[in-house]
Amino acid sequence: MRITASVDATAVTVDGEAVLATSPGLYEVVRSSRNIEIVCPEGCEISVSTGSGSITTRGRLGAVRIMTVSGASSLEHVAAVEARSASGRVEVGACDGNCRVVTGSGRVELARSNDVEIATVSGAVRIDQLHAGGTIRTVTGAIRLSADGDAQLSVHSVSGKVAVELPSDAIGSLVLRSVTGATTGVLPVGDGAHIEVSTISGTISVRTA
Amino acid sequence: MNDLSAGAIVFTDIVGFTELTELHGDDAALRLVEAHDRLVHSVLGSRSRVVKELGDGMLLWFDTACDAVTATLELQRRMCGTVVDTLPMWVRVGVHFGTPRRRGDDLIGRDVNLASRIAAVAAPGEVVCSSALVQQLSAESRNAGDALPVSFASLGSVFVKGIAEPVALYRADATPRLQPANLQTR
Repeated sequence: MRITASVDATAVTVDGEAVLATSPGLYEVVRSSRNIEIVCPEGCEISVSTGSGSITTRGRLGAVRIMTVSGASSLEHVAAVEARSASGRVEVGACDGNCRVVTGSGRVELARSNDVEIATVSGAVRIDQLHAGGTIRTVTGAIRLSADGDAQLSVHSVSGKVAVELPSDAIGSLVLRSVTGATTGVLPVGDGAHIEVSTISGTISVRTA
Repeated sequence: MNDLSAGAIVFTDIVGFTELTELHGDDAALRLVEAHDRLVHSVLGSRSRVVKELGDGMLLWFDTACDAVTATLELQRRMCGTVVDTLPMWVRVGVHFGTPRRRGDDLIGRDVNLASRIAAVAAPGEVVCSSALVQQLSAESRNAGDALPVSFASLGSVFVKGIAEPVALYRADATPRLQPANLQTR
């Protein structure tokens, strides 16, 4: 399934069937088939559900909701996203607002996001650029992210390894707790980031670039 | 309950229980399950019951949609922050309204299967409900002349194995607020 946002588009097309979009609105597409292409106005809000079908969006969409069983999702640019998948991978290029992702074993990869709420069982989480912060929980998935110097972040893992990188000039506070895992964290004290990480057996590493 | 009584079917599921057991052993897993069971029993009233203990969760029955949603949100509130032997109590909850068949004290049928699948979609700490549950709760509130006791955020539709049509799901929130925007479905 491919969804393309176009600045000039005024129609939503599903399987070749042109549907006139009278307003930017919110459109729900529910198909198990992979053979769907949707072209919609930039900023359009989309809710897409598939079974095993993968979902790819191009361009800049509004709020997007994704629900798959095993299908992978790749979203280029969204205002906000709520994505759920049992085993499908979730990739987001840029998310301007809240990025909420729930997976079982599916990996979560965000290139850039403002704030996040992520929960996985075993899926690994990677965030290249996290601005505001948020909450990440996983049982066994490894977590690796780079956050802004004023990020407010809470990370909880049972056995997954957690690695957080902050800018070289970051200051703030760290709360690192692990029952049996090694913890290493260095951050000059000040009014800036607040990073809280807890694990049971996973190692924790928080460092500046 | 008669064989065809309608009611709310609830599944609770301890997230990552298999992994937690593998990592921390059977004794820790047992204590986690016992703590889960105590918390579940603490929110059940006279119009609800435990149908079945499932090892890493429970199947519950509630006579009304309202009881099911308010009790499970309270359950999640009590679960939040609960730690057992350093293990977090992360539980997901799925709620559906339907007419399961009774077999002794047990419940079986499509609606039970669906409720189980809904729980699998929830994140730790969440209560995820089917559209049938939301509609029933709306009807119960309307009949009682009350406002909805909770709010719902649309999650979209999920394909469920063995069920032909996708099922619309909603996340319940303890704070009443505006209902989700209407969808234009294609």
